[in-house]
Amino acid sequence: MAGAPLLSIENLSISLPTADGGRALAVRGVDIAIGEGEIVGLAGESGSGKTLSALAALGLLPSGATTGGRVVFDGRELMGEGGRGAAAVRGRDLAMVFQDPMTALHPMLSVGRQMTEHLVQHRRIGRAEADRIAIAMLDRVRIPNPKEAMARFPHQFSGGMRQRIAIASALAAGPRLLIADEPTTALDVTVQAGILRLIENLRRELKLSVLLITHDLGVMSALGCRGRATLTRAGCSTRCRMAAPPITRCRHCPARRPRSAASPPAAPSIRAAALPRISAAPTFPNCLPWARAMRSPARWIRSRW
Amino acid sequence: MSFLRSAWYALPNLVRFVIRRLFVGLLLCLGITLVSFALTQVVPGDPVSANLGDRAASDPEIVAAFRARYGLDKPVPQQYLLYLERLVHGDLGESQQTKRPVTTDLAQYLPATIELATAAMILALVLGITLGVVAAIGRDRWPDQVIRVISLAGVSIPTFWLALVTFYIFFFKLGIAPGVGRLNPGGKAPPSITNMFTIDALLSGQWTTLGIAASHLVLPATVLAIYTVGSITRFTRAAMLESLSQDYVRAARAKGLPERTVILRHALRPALAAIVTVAGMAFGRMLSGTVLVESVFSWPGIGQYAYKSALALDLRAIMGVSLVVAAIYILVNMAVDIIYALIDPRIRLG
Repeated sequence: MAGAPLLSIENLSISLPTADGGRALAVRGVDIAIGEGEIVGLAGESGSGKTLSALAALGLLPSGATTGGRVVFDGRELMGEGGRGAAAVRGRDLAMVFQDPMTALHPMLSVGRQMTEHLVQHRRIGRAEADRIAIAMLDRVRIPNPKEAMARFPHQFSGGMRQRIAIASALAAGPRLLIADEPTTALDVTVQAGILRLIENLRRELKLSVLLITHDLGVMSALGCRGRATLTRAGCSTRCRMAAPPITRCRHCPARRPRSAASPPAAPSIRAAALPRISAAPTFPNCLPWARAMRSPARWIRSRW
Repeated sequence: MSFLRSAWYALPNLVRFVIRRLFVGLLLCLGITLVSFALTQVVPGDPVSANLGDRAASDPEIVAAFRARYGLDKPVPQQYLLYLERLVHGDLGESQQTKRPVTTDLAQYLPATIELATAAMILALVLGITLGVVAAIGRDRWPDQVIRVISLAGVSIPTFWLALVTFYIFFFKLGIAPGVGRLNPGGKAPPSITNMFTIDALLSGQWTTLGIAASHLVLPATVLAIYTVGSITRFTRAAMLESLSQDYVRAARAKGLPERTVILRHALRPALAAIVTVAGMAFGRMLSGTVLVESVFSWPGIGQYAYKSALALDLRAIMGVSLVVAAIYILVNMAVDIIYALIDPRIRLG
């Protein structure tokens, strides 16, 4: 990491009002620094202030919270001024993916709408251009038939697919830093690896900085947080280096096993696998708008709203 | 048969849904005629004495003629079947009060009430949703407190009292509101198209009449709306608080959307689903509850008609009113379900 970090959180403290009228100091003295293109893990048990620290950077703390310390993103002070500093970069340079894709996507808005609304907002581009970018991004996160996916709704996708959509939506606006808040915790174990691999690939391809929040050290090592990790406990942080993540030393890990002729061939990558795709939703032929309107009036009217 | 079946499933969901619901609604209406007919038989009181004067009622010949004219001399089941037979031909019988076919009476009085109730409903929705959203955003701060008082007052003030007081203040004291009725005294009604004066005036381009009819509508519609404003406000506030705390609203904020978009698109939309249901029920209640407002403002609507018919034991009129109000209620509920499905893609009609 050369020069000033992209995001630096210095001596952050957050206190929240409690039900009995007092205040609880939820975060104290947390320091995090993330350089350009770097991945940093933020780990800790639940309730140790990981998510709150991230929300503070976005200026999305619950009302009544008071803060101390500094959050600087690319030379810009994010806290203070009533959160106006964060509002300028939120969604545009600084994106966030939430823990539970089942609830983080709006159930009543189409995937396309959710992929493009902030694009139109931030980049001042037309709907068609935004659609093009969104479709490309859906393809990048390996959503099958991205064009059709745009017209569908979150409940028509599985959990892993929804998290891919959420990631695509966060990255569509071309942010420089992605905050991933427990992106795999709510997912099936078999899906987790795919999401983690996706984040790592996107980071490399898009030269993205990533702040990975997790309570799972295994996730951190799988993502190769070889750079740095910060551990939080009871609202305090300790910076530590994960020189060689302990999990990868595990002798069961295929990656660490010496390659030899005797060892079984590497598992095929997901893309190359010859598994037939299950077409869960019927695909409509690409027909004229009015014919589409006749076919499903409810969907047509909804798409105008 | 299989041809019919595949043709049925080739129809769009929405059309299938409407057809099915209309069929069920028809059966419901049939049940309602049975119930209302049965009720008219068991209520104490005799239509003869209610409609004829003392002298006429004591003359057996006149009584017999009256009974024969309205079919009251036949056995009860036969009366019902006769009623149904006429109903199929669009004949609801003759009102003993007005001596006119009930359908003619309904065509005259029902549009006045629908006009009033619709105006009130629009007002209640606009005001209620706005106040509810404002209250939810300013939760536990002064806007919320003020709105809480307003909505509480709205649901607790008796409608007829409010009608009298507002009429007294705005008509007698301030002179802002026009007098009673749908038009100024001696005012000429616009050409009869829908019998909703505002709509008719609009359709025939009579702008002065439109202004007069609309100004006469304001006060009664507001009074009628107040209760619903209160309940919709409270419902909207609760539904908004619920949706504002959802993850997807936080995600929308994290995407950097302006607060207006977050509230109106992401938070209000799920709340609307709940509001529509409340509004549908409120509309039904308005239709049946207009009688007090109609009496105070001399609004010649179906509430007054039903009230007078009930006093006179005008059986055909009472049954006609129940049937029409029930049909409207069924249609409104169907509309609510359709709107619900439009708002929420997870709901499937059919």
